[in-house]
Amino acid sequence: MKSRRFLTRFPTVLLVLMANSLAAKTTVSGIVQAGIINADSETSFIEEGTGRFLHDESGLSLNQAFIVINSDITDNVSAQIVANHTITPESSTGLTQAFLSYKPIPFKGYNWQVKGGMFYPSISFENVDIGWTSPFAYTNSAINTWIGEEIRINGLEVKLTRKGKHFNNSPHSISGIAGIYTRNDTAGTILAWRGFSLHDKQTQLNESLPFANYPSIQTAPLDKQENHVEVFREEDGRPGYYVGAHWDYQRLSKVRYYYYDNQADPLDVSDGQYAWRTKFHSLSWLYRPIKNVRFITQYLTGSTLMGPNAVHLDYEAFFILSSYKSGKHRFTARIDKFGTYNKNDRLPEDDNASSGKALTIGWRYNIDKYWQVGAEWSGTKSTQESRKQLGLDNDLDQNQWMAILQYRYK
Amino acid sequence: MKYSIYSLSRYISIVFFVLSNNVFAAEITASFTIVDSEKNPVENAVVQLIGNHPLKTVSPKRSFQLSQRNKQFTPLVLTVPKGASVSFPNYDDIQHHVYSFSGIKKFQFKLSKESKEPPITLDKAGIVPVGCNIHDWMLAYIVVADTPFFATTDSHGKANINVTNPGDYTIKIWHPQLSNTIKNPIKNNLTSISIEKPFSQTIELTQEITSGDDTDIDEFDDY
Repeated sequence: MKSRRFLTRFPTVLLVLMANSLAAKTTVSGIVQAGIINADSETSFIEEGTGRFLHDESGLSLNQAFIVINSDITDNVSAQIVANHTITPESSTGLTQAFLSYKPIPFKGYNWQVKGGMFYPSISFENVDIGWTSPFAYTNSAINTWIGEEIRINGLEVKLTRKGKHFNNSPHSISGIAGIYTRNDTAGTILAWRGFSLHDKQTQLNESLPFANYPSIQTAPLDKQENHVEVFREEDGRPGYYVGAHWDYQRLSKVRYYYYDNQADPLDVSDGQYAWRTKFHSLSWLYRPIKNVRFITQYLTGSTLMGPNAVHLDYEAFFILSSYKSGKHRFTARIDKFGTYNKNDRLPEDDNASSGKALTIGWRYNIDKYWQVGAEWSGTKSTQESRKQLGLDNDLDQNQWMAILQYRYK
Repeated sequence: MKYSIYSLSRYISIVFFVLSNNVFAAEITASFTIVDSEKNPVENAVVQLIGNHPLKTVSPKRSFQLSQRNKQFTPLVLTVPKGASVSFPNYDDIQHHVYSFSGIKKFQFKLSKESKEPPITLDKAGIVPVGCNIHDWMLAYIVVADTPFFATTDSHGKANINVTNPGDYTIKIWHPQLSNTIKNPIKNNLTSISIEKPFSQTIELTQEITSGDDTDIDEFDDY
């Protein structure tokens, strides 16, 4: 409980630090994104349905609204707070990131960086714009949709980089990363029943993420599980960890590998929330043959376990994205593949298997520094065995259109 | 009025300077072309001609700039005479954190477009690597020359040096990619040259210099 109180107070501590520091140079930026959505009618998971998209009603919608406050507390210490507003499933405002980072001047070509607070591990090349949004597609890949939903570091990260340029102008730079965190014990819950999803919602601090109320979680032995996940929850007091490595070949080719293990005790349960032992490997590759073209791929594979082998599954997901920028236009196409696989757990009647693929094609046009318009089509074909529990066909084909207007403040 | 008098005096001094160089001191132009071991022209190589009798370096009036534009330093190699002052204007909309910690001069400052950071005076000869702590790839070098006779090669590998005092000079070549362990990077162990009249000379290095085309930056490279 103590850590929970500290966590909710940590952003306040940051704000006070920002305000008190006389030398602080503070910048505020942000994005508001709204548009017309031609949605698939399948009830979204966010409305306790089984649809993989966030929207299930066509019409006007507010997609993103957030501000990023950056403040230099000293030359080498800075703070960042990201506050988002969402209307799905209901109107709420909250923090998605709040952290301090310390980056001293490199010494003999080596660079230390320490980050503390609430933030995303830098596992992907997709969500590289401010506020962890993607400049490529409005709908995130299956992998990074899940990262935005259930993965957040509430802890400390240390990164050491060897900068190639400082070593006889070598084109190779390498980094090693290690992190420790709490409050990510429920990660994996949503993959077990809903499977992977495709959207750009990021879970706010202390927000909970709903999914369908499957009969298998209304009856023993899974009836302690509620049909939502409180993402930032510490159940067992055991910290999780992650390690990572970055390898950059100039800006032409970059590779990132991460291993994440929340070390949760799967037998711990309270307030309708189980701890899930969730582990995964993630491998990402960015390739930029020329300035205007990017190829990004990511592969993620892992497992999650809840209860005494009550729910146990493997999962994997992959995407390949290519994006081409021509003047003020950006064109993006992405293919996703994803799946969850039963691992001989004790409850075969609670079937957690799913698989699917998706295609996303988009265009964005920068009118000026502030305004951008764009359009995107996403289609997905998938199966989800848990839908049978609700008397639905396990096959699910969905597609959606979006026309988006974006205002960027900087 | 004040301004025009100032401009006039400046104009006169420039005219005088040009005259003094060209007419009174009989300037000799030494044209160098630097190529690597594969005979490819080498850009950003610094050629210094060091006189056998060291010349007193005139305190330079000119101001030098190492600017930040499109998340790169320009120029990548800036050669200045000893005692020169260098300012670091930021032409980008974003902040840079310019530093040098490993060279002959240590400094660091955060710069925005509006920043008016006073110039840094470099009074020791040598190499000052300059980086940005926000954009890790940004790296430039200030070469502080110990002689008034120096130049940096262009994209064709060419550098012209106007020498005012005929005589024997030692040739010193520096490039970011030249290995520090090699005593003389010039082929055939060429070390000195006699300058009496204008001439052109191609200097071949013992090492291959890759172009290191690392300038394609876009808005998401920080990540």
